[in-house]
Amino acid sequence: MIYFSTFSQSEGLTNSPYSLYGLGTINQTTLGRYNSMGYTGIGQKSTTDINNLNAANFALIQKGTFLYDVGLRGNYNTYENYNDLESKAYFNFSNLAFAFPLGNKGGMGITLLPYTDVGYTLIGKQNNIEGSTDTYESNVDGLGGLTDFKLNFGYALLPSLRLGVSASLLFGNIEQTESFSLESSAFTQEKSTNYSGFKIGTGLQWDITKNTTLGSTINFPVNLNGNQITNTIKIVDNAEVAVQEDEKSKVNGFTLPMELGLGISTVFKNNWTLNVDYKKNYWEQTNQSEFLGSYIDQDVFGVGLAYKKEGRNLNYGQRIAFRTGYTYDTGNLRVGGNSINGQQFTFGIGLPTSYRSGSMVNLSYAYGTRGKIDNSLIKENYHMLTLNLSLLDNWFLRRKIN
Amino acid sequence: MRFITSCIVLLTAILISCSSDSYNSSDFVAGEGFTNSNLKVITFDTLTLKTSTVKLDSFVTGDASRILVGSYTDPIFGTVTASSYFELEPESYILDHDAVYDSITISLKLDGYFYNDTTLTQKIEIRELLESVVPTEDYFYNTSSIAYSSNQILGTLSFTPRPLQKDSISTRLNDSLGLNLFERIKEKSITDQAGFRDYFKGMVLLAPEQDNSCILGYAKDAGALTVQLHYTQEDEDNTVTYTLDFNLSAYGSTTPFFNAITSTYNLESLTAITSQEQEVVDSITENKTFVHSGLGLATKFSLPTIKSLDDIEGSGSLLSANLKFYPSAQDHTNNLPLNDSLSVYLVDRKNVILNQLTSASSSAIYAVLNKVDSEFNNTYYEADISTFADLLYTTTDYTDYGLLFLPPNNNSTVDRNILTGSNALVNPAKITINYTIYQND
Repeated sequence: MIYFSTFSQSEGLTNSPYSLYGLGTINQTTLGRYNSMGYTGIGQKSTTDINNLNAANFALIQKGTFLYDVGLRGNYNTYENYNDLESKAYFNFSNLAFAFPLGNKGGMGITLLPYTDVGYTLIGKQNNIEGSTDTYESNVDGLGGLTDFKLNFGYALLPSLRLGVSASLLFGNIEQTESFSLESSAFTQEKSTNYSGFKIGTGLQWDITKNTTLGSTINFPVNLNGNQITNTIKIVDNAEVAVQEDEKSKVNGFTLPMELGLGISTVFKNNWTLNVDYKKNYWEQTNQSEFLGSYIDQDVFGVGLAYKKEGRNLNYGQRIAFRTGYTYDTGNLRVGGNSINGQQFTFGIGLPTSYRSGSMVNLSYAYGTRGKIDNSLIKENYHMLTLNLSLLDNWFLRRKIN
Repeated sequence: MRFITSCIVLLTAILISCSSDSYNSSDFVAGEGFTNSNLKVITFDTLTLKTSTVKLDSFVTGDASRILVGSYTDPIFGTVTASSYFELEPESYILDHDAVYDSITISLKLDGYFYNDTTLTQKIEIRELLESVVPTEDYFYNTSSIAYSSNQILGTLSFTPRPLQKDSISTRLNDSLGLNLFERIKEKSITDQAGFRDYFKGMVLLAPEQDNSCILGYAKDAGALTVQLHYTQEDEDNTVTYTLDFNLSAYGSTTPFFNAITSTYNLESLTAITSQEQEVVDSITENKTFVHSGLGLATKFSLPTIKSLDDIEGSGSLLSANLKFYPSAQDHTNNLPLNDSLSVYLVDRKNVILNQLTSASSSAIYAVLNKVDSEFNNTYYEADISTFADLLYTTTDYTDYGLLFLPPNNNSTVDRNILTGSNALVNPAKITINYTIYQND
């Protein structure tokens, strides 16, 4: 059977069925132009926009400037398994960020990004009734996600060596509802869990030549604590009965792994920028498992390429930046012999807002797949559009010109 | 800069409008292996179900919807006899001085109800009551009786009943009664109901020969049972026939009427019941339990060990409780049929009826007879007693309470049902519990 939901029906916060696991699907999108370069940029130097991928880069924010980045994204996702095919479209908040210099050698910024998204509805799950050969169907759905409120600080130790630290407050709520009906009875359990925790990270950028920079990042593992409120109702004999009312409990926290990142970025032939990133997330050490499978170490490879004509060009067309990228993710969950891997192709352009300013409207399109069709597995294809306004405000310079 | 500012405003507006937490809807079937369930459902029919027979001390029959007369013999309950007592009320107390007595008759109308064999000739004996039809307590019960004249029969009815046709039947009554009533009204020595009652206290309809025929129901509504005085009066040219009707008396708070239902009982364990508190468990009565509306026999179900559901690992909740019980095949024949449904009453630990069991929507709960085919193995009663079982399990207010099963309108019928108890080897009564475990402790 094939279902196509219309755009209006599926509007709302929804995500991959895989967002059932852990704390949801980990958000890959970042700020500005990096969304169209395969989400790479650990090694990329930038003075005109916010590079959230490496805190060390905040040291490069120029004196007298103020950087903003506002983004939103739209997704069109298709989920498919042996039996079913469904498509969904939705809009979502992408990011809010600003950054500013601190003295001559430092800079800092605050970014607000979705950290995970949860939005799944699994219907018609067949369960055995213990003590008989009969079955019943249950529905599971989840909604919510975590937000990353991140403070970055970068400092230039040497003109060619920058160090950064970041502190993230991860917080959010995930609601999971499971319900079923059996004969004339029905049962619904709603679990609402608030998670919170601090994640600390460091970053380094080293300009090995004028045009080439190496970068590295470390995010330290963190255990997120969960406070759960459970509400359970049942319908017996057509009457609603409360089984659990606002029952509070502490749930086992969820551990985020140690994450290492390495990146190199180089500018060649004046107009071209090439980024290569590699990230490793040590999920195995978190000793966590899910019903479907267990967590495995995750490798993420990314490559990004951008073209922008050097210098200030009078022709608007010559000021447009063109970007593309590719990323491959081995996945953090192994099911049987399969890991839930994914890949994405990204394309994008950057449109300067005016001749004088360094502000850009960044549009990016990504096509990605995740998972595969197997016994119980789902393959997910998605198209994603992100729109970022990456703004550079010259606080003192501007008045002079005006 | 103005461009930038407007862009930010616009973007923020879009963001706010689009990131609403509207609930996602989906028809995507993810498949069985995709996720586990926090919830587990188990079903079992092994919970102890105690089945017994309880005998109501008495129940009010003064408000019965019909007149019951007749008798039949039953292998278990012996000879079951119904007789009906009532007072009459003249429709007027005026007779002309030139009126001439002719005769007195009684007529009855079958209301369609019957139990047992209607092919035999039915006999009814009508006798005069010696005492007024006034209850010694507040009401008349199935066990009430009033002395009646043993030497004089007012009249007899003998007929082959056709209950489904709702025939009317009538007979002449003793003329000495007729003449006496006629003269007293005519001479104005009876001018009101009190005076009438002083002279004629009422009558009883009896089944004289306690043979194995049937008990029949007669309509009780206005004009269905009448005693008529027939008389003539000279007109200018002709002799005209008139009647004076006597109807069922309907004055006062208590209708002067009741059906008495007695039995000789063949089963000693039933005779031995002396109080309503007593419970005869099915193991004493050949793993059977009994229901007889006229005699006030009810089958009781109780769940003495329902609190043991707490022993199931984890936190759980009751989803449904369904009773299933079978009629005893050899104790029912075409003449001794089953009820299509049984009413359910909540009783306390002393078997005092508290109320009729209703669902949450206040509609009465019945045990409904399922007749899949003519095989008795597939004929059973089912009752959803989920709400009761859940209250019994989750609260302490209902501890040791039970459920009584009786035919609907049990004050106006003589229906019988013999059921297999929970100890029966074949088709034992069972309760099926659906239970969900929602939390592993």
